[in-house]
Amino acid sequence: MPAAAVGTDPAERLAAMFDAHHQRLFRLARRLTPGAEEARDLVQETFLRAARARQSIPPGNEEAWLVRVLVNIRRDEWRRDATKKRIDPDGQAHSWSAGPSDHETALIAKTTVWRALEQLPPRRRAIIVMCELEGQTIPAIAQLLGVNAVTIRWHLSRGRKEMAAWISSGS
Amino acid sequence: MDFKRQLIEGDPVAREPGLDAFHAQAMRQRVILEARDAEREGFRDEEREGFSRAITLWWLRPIVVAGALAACLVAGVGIGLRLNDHEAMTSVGRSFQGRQIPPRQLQFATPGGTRVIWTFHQEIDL
Repeated sequence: MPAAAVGTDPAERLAAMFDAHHQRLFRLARRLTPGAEEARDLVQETFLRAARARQSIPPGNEEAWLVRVLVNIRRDEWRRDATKKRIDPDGQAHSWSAGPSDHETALIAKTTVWRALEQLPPRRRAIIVMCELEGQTIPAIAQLLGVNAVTIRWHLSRGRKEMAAWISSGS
Repeated sequence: MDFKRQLIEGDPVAREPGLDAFHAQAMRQRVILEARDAEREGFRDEEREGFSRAITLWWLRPIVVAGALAACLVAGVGIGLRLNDHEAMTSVGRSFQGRQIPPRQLQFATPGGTRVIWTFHQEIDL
């Protein structure tokens, strides 16, 4: 991405990266989180990590790096949340499920398929989102996430099966 | 079940506005500040590294110089001692040679006319 590569000053480079990718990352984050606020936090955390680890961002491949970091952060949150739920089952009510005050989130939660999607681990969810909603090809997703195309296909098939099972279980 | 259609219908991105300019600007500034902080921290780390390197050099240099001086001193003393020994040996030799008494000789002629010269060992004391 030429815009992100402009300037040798790290802050300048990061600003260019932000301008080039923040909307795309926000869209992905929004599809991986239950609310807009969580999505904003996720995007901000992704760019903060980029600011702290600017040397590890490969020039010309910033988007893939950012997507990977975003999915990993979401995965860490998801794991933390899962542990919390295991320790304190009542905590589920305070967790990432749609709050009644958030009208938009409540609308999303009404859709059964989206509720099923929320049950999936973040990486699998990201793969389904990128494939079904962003219309990306399997090799493109594999390149973005830095994994094999076979792994992507496996996650897609597994994710669809899990969603179908979740929906048919009548949850 | 058509997952794709249902996913598209329930897509929050389609329903909601994207990241608004206010939040985006605030986030951008925060990120740039963080980058500058990280950069300053990096410089500080480099400075710290440079300072510790300078300190190491500062200590190392006199130690190296002192070591070299000590080595020179030892070598000098060694060479000096060797030279002294050599000098002493030569001087002893020289003094011994200097002390040499001219050989004592006894010369006589036989009746047949043969001239005989006896040189006495210097340690023979008659």
